[in-house]
Amino acid sequence: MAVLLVGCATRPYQPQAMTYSEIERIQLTNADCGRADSFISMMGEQLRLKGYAGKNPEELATEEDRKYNSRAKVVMWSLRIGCNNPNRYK
Amino acid sequence: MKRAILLLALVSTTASADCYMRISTRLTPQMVNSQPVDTQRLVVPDSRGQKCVMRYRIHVGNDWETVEGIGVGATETDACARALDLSRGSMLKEVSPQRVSADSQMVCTDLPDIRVHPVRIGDIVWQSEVDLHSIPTERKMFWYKRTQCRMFVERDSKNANLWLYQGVICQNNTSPNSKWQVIDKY
Repeated sequence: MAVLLVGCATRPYQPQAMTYSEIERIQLTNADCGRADSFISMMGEQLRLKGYAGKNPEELATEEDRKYNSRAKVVMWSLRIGCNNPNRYK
Repeated sequence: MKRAILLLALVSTTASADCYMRISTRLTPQMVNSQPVDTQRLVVPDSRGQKCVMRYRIHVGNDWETVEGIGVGATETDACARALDLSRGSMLKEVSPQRVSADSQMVCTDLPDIRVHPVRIGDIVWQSEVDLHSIPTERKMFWYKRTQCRMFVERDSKNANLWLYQGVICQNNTSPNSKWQVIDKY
């Protein structure tokens, strides 16, 4: 049996990166450590979508690019450091 | 002829050494923010046994400083342990005419020159080639993927703008004096 799809949307799905203000609103607590890996991978995905992945900050063209990159990485490293080194801030 | 020129160039390269003023500055433990790191040693026989010259880096106030200590002992271990004693150390400052005073000595060395400089992700560096974090609580070591790491800061002033980056370096292996890799900078 052949199924013929007619009239379906033909535009491919293109994921969009979060905005800076969305990233800025992220608040982390110890309770987030249980899902740290998925948070980190989500932030990494935002950097890939923006085209910043693996780049040094000097290579980013504008101040907005650097701010976005820095904010996302602060979130990632806060989780990596805070969740795996519980005595660091005592 | 070409070969002769190349040889001359090689001779002049190998003969050059960095020169510093050795300044006797008494360091108190309160002034120092770090243990000696990035140590380099030069051991030579001495009439009393072994003479060890240790060069290392310590973080004093807001900056990394290069310190040189000399120790003599029956064995290399004794001599180098004495040379690493902070109270025997003298700071090495780059030569500049204004700094020369009667109680300064000029020393020249072929040991690698370690200083703070801009780094890129992936670079392999000595620990003291990047600055300690400006916030003291962020200077502590931490573990990431089973390696010891620490955060650093880098100042970049271009076109009248001052950019302050931070980043992460992790130790390449577990030996105490190993180099570090720049894991991230942002």
